[in-house]
Amino acid sequence: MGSKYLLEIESVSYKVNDSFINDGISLNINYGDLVSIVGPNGSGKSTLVRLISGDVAPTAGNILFLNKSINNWDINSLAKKRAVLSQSMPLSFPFSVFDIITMGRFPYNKEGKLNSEEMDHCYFLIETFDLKNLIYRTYTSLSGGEQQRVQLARSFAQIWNDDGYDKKLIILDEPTNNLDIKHQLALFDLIVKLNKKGLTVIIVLHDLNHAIFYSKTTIMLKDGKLKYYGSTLDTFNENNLQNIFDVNLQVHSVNDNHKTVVLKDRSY
Amino acid sequence: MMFDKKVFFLLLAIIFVVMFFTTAFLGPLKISLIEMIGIVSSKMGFSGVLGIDHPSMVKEAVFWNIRLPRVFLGILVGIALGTSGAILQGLFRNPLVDPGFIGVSSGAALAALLVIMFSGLFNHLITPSLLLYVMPVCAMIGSIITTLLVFKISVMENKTNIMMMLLSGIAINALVGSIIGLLVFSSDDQQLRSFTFWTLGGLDRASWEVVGIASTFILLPLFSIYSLGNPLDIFMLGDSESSFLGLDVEALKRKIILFSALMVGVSVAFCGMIGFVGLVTPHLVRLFIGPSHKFLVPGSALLGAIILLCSDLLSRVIVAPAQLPIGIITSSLGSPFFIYLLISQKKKVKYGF
Repeated sequence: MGSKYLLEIESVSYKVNDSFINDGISLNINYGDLVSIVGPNGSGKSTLVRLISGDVAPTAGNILFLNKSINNWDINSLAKKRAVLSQSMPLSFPFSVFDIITMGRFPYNKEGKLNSEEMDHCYFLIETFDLKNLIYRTYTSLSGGEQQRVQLARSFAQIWNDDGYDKKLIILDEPTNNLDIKHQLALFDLIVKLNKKGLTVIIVLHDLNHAIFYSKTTIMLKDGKLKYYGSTLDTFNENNLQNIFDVNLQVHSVNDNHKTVVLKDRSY
Repeated sequence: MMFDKKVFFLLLAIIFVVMFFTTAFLGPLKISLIEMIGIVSSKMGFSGVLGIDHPSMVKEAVFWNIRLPRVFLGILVGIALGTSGAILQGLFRNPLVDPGFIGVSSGAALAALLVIMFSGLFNHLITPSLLLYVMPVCAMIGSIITTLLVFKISVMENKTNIMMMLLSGIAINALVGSIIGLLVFSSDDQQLRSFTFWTLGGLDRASWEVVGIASTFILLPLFSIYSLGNPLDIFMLGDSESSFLGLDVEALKRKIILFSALMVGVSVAFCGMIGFVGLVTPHLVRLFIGPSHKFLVPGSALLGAIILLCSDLLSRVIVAPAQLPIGIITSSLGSPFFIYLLISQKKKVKYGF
């Protein structure tokens, strides 16, 4: 298992009805990286996420997770190594918030009975995502932002284990959706904290300043193709953003290792 | 209106026992507890236990050969309909699913009717006692096919399209209705009566042999279904989401389709189509103890049995000594409940909870 990269994506394409959603993407993701995926609507971000989650198999190419094709993993072993937060998850039955969060522990025990350590960890996540007053509420009665926090807590509950965070991956597809600023920051605090402990994070973001501020590496997609891939500070420049988003943006350097994106003056 | 789960199950168990004895005693011919002990003990080979006189032969025959198998068959069918309703609602991730609406029961009925039609042609090959086995197996196959069909038609991108589901159910029900209509058209008075059995259901074909076959087909899957409780809860998150958590989604779906088809198939083969039990039962259980399938499945099995016992009792008592088809009772009570469900769903959509 001595692979050099956590995730190796080798000329991966995904086709639906003869049109490419993802086209010939190749990149490697290092252990312990914090990777943001940015790109305009319909650029293939979510499909790339589904491919690297193992949810769909690529039409062409290979995706290796820990040196083994992601679609050949035993799904339960895989579930202990990588967690995924998808976009918006409606539920038809009124499960409680607590039920949903503890479902994150399914890969470790199929009966749904948590030991005290697991329980402690779930409570830590409940605190982190400010869900303490909601745990007995039904998921279906929550607002969009509250539901998002519950799903986040569930995803992070899945990736935790006493063997640490090394060689583990969490994939978050637009995790800041519906979150207010306080909860966005709480989420990023947790991401940074776990990333420092070795967890690899792949995160789809729309807010470019989030991507610049938090991620180490950035994947920029357009029209299903990988346009730019590299360290966040290098990839975020006015030229690249113009090419990707077709918008005039200014990138200011705040200091040596931080930049910020602002709108250019627009005359209305 | 949430109950403590232990209290809920204890209450159900008490009601179940009470209903069991009530349905066994009551009917056109009343049988007392003492007489019941007398009959059962003499059947076990101890006559005159506790100084109980042996009751009349008629009472013994009625109780042992008619009443008791009927009660047991009612319990089994109630378990089958309640449980299959619960797991099918899970499969479709939709609380409005009933084996009757989506054509699973009609699929089974269609297969059973075809067996009857063809066994008439080959009556030198298929003896009545062989038919007792052939019918549930064919009905089971019929319900597997219809479940698969409806599931394939109505599930799109991990979500059940309710309209597609109900419309495909309507199509299958219409097909079966037309075949039954054809049979009715070409049948005499005597046969006519037996067709109402298929559309409205009844427990009057009960015998010990039937109970034996039904319990094999119903109780065996039941034990496997209990272990599906937690996986089903996970499955509620969605196809992709639950497989991200390590759930083998396709295997779970296959099991649900197979088990519910087994249960519905055998119920329909022996008791015709009994509507609404599969819809109402899980819903009531959810109302009391929440949606977790770990408790919903056993709760629906128990409550399904109680509902069937109550309905059977009503069907025997209301027009005694004649009997109403049991489906008249379940449908007449179940359809107003369904309308209530629809209205409350509408409110949920409107207010977002």
